[in-house]
Amino acid sequence: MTTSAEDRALREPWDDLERQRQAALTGIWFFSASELLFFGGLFVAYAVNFYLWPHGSMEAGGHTGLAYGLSNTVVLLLSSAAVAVAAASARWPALGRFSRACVWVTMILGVAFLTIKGLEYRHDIEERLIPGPGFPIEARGAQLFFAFYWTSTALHAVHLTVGLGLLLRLAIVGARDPQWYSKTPAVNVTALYWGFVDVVWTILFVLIYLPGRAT
Amino acid sequence: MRFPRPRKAKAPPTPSIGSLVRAPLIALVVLLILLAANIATAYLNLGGGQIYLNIAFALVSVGLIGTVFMELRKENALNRLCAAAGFAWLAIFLLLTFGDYLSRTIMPF
Amino acid sequence: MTDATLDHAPDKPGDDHLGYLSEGGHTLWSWLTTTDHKRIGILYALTITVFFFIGGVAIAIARLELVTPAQDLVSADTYDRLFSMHGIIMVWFFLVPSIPTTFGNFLLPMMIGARDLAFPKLNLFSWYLTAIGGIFVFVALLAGGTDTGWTFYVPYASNYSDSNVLPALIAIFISGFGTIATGINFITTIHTMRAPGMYWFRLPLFVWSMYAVSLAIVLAPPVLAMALTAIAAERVFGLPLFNPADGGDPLLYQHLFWFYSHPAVYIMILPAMGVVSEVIPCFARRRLFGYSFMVYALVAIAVIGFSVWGHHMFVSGQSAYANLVFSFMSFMVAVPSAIKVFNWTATLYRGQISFEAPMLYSFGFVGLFTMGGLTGLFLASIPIDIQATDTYFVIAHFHYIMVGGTVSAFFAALHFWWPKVTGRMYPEAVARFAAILMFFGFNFTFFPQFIMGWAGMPRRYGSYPPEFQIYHVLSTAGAGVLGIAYLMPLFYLTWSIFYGRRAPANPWEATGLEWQTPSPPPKHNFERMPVVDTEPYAYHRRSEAPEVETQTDQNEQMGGTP
Repeated sequence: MTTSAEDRALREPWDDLERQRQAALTGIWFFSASELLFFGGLFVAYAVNFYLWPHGSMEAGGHTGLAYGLSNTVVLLLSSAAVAVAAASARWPALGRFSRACVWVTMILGVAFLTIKGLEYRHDIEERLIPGPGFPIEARGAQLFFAFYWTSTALHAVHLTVGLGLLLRLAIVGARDPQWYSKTPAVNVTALYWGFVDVVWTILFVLIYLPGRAT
Repeated sequence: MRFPRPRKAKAPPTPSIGSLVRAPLIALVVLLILLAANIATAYLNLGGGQIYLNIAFALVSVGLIGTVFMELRKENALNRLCAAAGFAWLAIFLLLTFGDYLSRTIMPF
Repeated sequence: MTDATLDHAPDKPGDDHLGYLSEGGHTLWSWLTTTDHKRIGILYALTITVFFFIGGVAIAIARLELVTPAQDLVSADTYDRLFSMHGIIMVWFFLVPSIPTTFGNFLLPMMIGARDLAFPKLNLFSWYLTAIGGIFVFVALLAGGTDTGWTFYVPYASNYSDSNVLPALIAIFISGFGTIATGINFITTIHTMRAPGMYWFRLPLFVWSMYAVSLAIVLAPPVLAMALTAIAAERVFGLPLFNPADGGDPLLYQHLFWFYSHPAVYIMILPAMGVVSEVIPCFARRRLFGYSFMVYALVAIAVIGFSVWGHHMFVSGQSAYANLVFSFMSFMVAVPSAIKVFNWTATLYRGQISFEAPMLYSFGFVGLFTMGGLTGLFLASIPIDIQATDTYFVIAHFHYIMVGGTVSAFFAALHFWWPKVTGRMYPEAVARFAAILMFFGFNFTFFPQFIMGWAGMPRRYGSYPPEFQIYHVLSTAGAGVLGIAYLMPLFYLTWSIFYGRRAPANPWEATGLEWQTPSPPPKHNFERMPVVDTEPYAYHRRSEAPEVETQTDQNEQMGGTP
């Protein structure tokens, strides 16, 4: 016998909430695999250009704002932990408010990430680190490196913004309907999406900010 | 006929916040340590192979995020396979592409 | 299979024969907001039909230009745009969606005994993504098209082309994500929603082909999305990823592009193989030969197909060793396809073959796919490819597979499942005529292309040396016949919707859960969840020939005991 909360969380064509949850998780994991290949295309491009032009790439890497990158990585790791706790606690109605508070923490950290990124972009533009005429680094491959930098961080920021939207929906609808919030697979799905965004950043951080530090 | 539902066990008692936070918190601390170590090694002059070490640190971190934050340990075999498939296919892509680049004869210019 | 759980006997007077076509609403809005997989399948079918004819018109004009050696009908620039738009539209807005989003959507839940797909709203969203992508195609067309070829090679597409590359890129990008969502939907559905007793090795091969194609659909298009994003980044923001002037490698783009586009051709053929595996057993009244090897072959093609992409780049500057590896893997991937062709043929042995339209199209598929596949092996061999690359030989090869193969199978599916989808029978004699006409028209169009390609006629040229004219004239004439053969079903199938004989639940006496529902099915497919207890393709008992129902054997004729 389903409770009405389960009825609200249950969608066609599912009869059983647990099976719906399992299917939703399979869906988001498979989607994460496809998104990994999306960024993977960029990773391959980076790897090839790094291989062809190691000196130019490393010199370019030394010009990236490590302080910004490090702050962003710490912020994103904290947010991942927060959303993981939110997802783990969501299924108990008694912990509903705690869980939604964690969702808000995640969102705030996500906005912080975007803010730091915005400041970093402004800094990069001031230093004219945009490929094209006036690019400050002569070495071949440096412009390719920064083309990768702008493309990958912009795409990552877009994905993160989508994640913020998903989190906002959880927080708002969850506050209006705490019973739905405790039953729906949407919390897990959103947390997994956010985790994926963090995974991509973890790899991007190494590729962008760490080459060329030794010189 | 509705598909027969599994008999529901009695709902388990609500766990304490501490028990829920413990695993993610430990993972977070480890991740921050890995991050610090990664950055520290970046300042060592290890030559061309430097980046592989940094990537290795990153992959360990990714593994930790996946298994703890994304709860891959608790998932069923299918979902773990999906996660693995993403990495496996990326590996195929990298492997065969670099098979080309590494075996090219570069004419000096 | 439980004996027909016909909850709704057809042809009862006063019955609403329209099932899902009327349940769920009669308004356009009800169709545009539906989450019923059957209605979404029809939405897709209408969409891809429109694009099929637009892509056809584009190449019709190009083929008219090719009748004379001189560039006289259209300018070279226009000619470039014509074949580019033909390729883009046919690949991404007809072939890739064709069978999976129409028949896959419609049949998959029914074949496994489910009410709908796992994520019905995502399914509708997929269609909208395809439709929005389609709108961008119209934008690109109305603005004059792009001249980069469907392959968008850099640095031309990223730095030098001044045609409408960006709308085309956006169109492909958006519709690609629709396809990815469909793939995720299918895999999750097959894993989690099979009816009781529907074990993995009882699934119809069409379902297996949907599974295999979904693997490719989820893992390959993201890389294309990135390749196209990179071109857009270069065109719009000046960010060089492949620009040789900055040290980039144009071949890197080709790696990214073909990592998707080779699996894409398997995305286009695997569903066709699934269809043919359903039709041939039915009209031969035989169990499918070698069921488990057919399954392994499907999955093998999907997986191995990811490791052969470099065979499109043999002459682009890849290393000789990479060429070797890709050539070897390309030979490997032909093996499972060959297994399938043998098994389809073996299925016919001792069968009671009848030649309804779906069967004619399926025979066409097997023959033409085999020719296309064998010529693919020629091209996988590096010395031959160096001679044949960028000639009409390649064009003929892939059209034999895409058009001779996938489009034939699409028409086979269209006729086979038409009674189920619409509740009407199509006119058989006209359909058979169209099938045969298509086979002859197709060969007239594309066989001369093998010959002239081998003789050196290059692809993507609107003018050519006069010695090739005879082949081009034959090819264009054939294309005219082919066009008529494609238009015929448009007319008689539409006619059948209004005037065709009403179809029973199982007009072909085929196995499969989808035939256990009325024609057309009700919105929820099954009133009661089916329970499966037989093997697939149970057209006769194992190790026995099908019962001969129509012939009276000799003994009986002479008055003895039967």
